[in-house]
Amino acid sequence: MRLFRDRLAWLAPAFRDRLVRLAGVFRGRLAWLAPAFRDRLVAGLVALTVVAVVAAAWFGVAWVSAARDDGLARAQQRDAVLRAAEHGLVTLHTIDHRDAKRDVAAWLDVTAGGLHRDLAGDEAGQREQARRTQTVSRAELVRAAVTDLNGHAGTARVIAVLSTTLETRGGKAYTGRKRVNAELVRRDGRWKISAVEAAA
Amino acid sequence: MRREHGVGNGAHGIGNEGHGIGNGGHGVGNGAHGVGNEGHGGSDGHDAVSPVQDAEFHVRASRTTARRITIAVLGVALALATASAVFSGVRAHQLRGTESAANAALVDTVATGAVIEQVSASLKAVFSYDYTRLRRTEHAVDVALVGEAAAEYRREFDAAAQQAKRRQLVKAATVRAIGVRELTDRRATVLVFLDQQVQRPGAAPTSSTATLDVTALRDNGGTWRISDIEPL
Repeated sequence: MRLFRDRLAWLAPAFRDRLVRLAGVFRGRLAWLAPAFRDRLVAGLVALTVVAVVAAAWFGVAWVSAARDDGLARAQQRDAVLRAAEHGLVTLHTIDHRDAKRDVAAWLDVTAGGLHRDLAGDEAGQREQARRTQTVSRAELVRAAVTDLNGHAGTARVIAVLSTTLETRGGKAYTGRKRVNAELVRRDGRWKISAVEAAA
Repeated sequence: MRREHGVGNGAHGIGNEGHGIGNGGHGVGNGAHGVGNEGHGGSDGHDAVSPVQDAEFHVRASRTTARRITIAVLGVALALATASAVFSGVRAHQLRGTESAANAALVDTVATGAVIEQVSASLKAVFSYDYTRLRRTEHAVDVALVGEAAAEYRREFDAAAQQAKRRQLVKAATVRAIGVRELTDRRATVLVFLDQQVQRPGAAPTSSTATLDVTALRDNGGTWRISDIEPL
């Protein structure tokens, strides 16, 4: 205690005495801990545990804040829209008259709302037309961007550029770029295309 | 005689301690079992041991046991804390360290709006020209384009300018649709549907479309300049 007092010689005496008294109280209260801290293994373990607990708290807070981050949720939603639009638009531009039933069923799977109703109402007609013209159409997505995203309402707009290849009976394959505007809606956690129009 | 007894007792105690250590590894409950053994060992019918020695032994034994319990508890706490730190650290990184999280397009609506506004204005200015005021387009190129986009535009500008003068062309560009694909602090990629209307004397106006993948860079002043234009 004396050593402690000497070390604090630079402090104002009144303040120093108070500190020393306080230290004395703590020393008395925490005396039972002294043997533990003389034990190197225990002291080392205590130090490591304190560090680990602080690290756990730090990363725990980081995890919780990331999980509740609205921006991150929106970024994920944007990319979910983009993936759904990419898959949906490619699907809607794909039909093989030899497998028209499967392809038209796939159209229905990636659509919702007005577009879904239109396609479902004329399912047989779509298949029949593909058979008659012996259409084989394929598409690849070149680029797409989300232009509008309303997470609460579950609506989004996407613009996209597709590379399409179209073959009909007798004709040779035609490959071209197609620009589209698409609207998407969220149904049961899945984004589906509710409208699509060619942008000139 | 008493001394020997004491040593013997000590040895006995150590034997028990060894037992205690073996059990101690299994946890606190077994440590407590160790205490029971030691207590038993201490009073194991050695009536000749002085009460003082017996008491000392008890204190030592309970200290070593307390130490073992402390170490076991600390070890478990250390393991748990380390495991949860690693687990939550990995989960936080999985959420924040992704490409999706780094892309601020539509997330930072103010920055997204600024990119859209500035890139739209730049493209309109750069892809519009009036054969009587070609300087204006040239000036727009100086302001709006940098790097490869600027170099490429200038390479083609002279030929385009001569043709415009000769045929008296007025070209007006309109951004039909625009969407930010990627956005970071310094760089953005933007998908643009551009329409162009060309008017010339004595002919009906013609229109054409262009689909552009534009890369824009933000300078220190916060201005977005187009560094690359890729026609799709």
